[in-house]
Amino acid sequence: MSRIPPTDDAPWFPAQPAPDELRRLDMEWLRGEGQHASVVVTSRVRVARNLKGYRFPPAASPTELNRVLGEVIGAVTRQSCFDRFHVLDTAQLSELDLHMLMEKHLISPHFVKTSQQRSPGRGLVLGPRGGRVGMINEEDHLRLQAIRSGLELEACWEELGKVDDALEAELDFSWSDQLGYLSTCPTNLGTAMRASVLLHLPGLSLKGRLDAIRSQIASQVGLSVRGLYGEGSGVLGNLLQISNQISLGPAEEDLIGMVRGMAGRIIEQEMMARQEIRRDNSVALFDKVWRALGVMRHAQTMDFPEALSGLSLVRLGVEMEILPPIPRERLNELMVSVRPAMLQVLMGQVSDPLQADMIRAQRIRQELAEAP
Amino acid sequence: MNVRPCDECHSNPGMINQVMVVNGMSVQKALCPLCAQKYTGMQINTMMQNMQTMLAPFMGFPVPQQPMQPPKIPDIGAAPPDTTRCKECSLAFAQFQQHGMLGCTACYESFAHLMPRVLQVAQGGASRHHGKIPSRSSGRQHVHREIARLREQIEEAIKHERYEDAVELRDRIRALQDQLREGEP
Repeated sequence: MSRIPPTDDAPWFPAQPAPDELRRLDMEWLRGEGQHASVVVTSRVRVARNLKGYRFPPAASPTELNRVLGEVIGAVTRQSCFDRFHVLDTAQLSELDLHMLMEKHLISPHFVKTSQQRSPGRGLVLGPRGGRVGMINEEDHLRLQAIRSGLELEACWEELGKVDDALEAELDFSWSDQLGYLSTCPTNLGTAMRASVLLHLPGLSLKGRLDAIRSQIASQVGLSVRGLYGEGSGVLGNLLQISNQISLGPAEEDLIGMVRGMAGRIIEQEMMARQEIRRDNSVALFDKVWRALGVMRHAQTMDFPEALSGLSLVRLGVEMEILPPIPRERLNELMVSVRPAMLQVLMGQVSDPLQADMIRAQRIRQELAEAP
Repeated sequence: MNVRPCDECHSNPGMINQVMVVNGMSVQKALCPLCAQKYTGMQINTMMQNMQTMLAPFMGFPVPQQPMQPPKIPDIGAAPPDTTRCKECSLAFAQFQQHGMLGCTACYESFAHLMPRVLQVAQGGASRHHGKIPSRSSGRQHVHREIARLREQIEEAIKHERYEDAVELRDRIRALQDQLREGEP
């Protein structure tokens, strides 16, 4: 296999996908299938990899970043497992598209920021239906992620392993016998892996137990808990993320086992909470979810937090078979399409927050209108 | 590499990336741990997920004690003096303390004497990798794992009285052990 020598100039990108293709809501993780999908919205596994011979991205020169990008693009182009992937030049993407990709859980806020600054040497490797994605020159040279709906961490790890192995056949990753994969930040050393699950916990929220659950997770050494938008974010839409906090020591499968074990315990508590509410407060519960559906189907303005709270209750009502069936996939799509950037992508640019709230309400009315 | 000051107090470094929704539009803010707590009501051990925050005690950054919960990872004390620089990228250890990010692979060797303290904060004290090994790694771990695998095969061979196989396996282990010894400094 002949290697194309990396150049100092900005690397050549393969054909870019049409903007419409990028903006579609056609995502693997929105299917709403997989194990425990009534509670687990997504499972995600990501690994960090760095290339030997280059400084880490925060310290690298533009030339180095371009070389790393060139090497990764070369590897992706040569390996057949990437045949259906796109390699995107993130410097060419609009701010709106960058935020939209973040809202679809495909890129990180940090990557949005660096790409917005039009810093050189950034790229995105995007797999079919967003199931696998690689950020080039984020905090590490490579951040690879697999995402699926339901509690499917093992499947994510398996899928991620294939692209990781394919890249490893082409690229020399920084590695040490003792410390494993070497990362820019020592918090990612070792496996350089983060496994996370996004849980929808309306039952525990209605029982007022969400704070206790957060403490329960945070008190377990090696695990961390956060809100929908990652680090430092509060709880929106009764959505909590659990992930492994440490990455060095236990093997990947053991870290996944830790996250899965904790997720399993919380799923059990959520299901119990839902049953308790049905048993003890069924009138209040019926009223709450029907009211939520009513508001969602008739409101003329709706801000993002209200939309997420309302969708959470509607979802609970559907899962508990109190409300008429609405496909989980449609509720998942709605959960993404009400986010600020995705909303504009789908419904057109907005000029002020009130207009955004109006078109958000319009989108929700459209999507939930078919439900009887 | 300058860290942007906190968007709220404008004095401490803005280490926590906070996406907030203001009137339905997402706004990104860089907050210091103190202001982030005011904003989100979150406790320090939740914010500890942020790596820079995790390294805060290490960076000489004020970590508020009340009303936050004590961090899960113990404060490792005062920062060591700023004398070490990476032999490859010349990053000073003090810069790492400030930003929490290393400059290159060689930083891990250059700061090897300080790594136990870093790993105490960042990895709860773990110091050895047990997971995936890259197939092209010429690392000794492949050899160690191969030896462990062969030992299991020896036990199996002896259990089934396949002594010739056991001898062959023993010789293979010896060869691998020699290989390890030759590789030692």
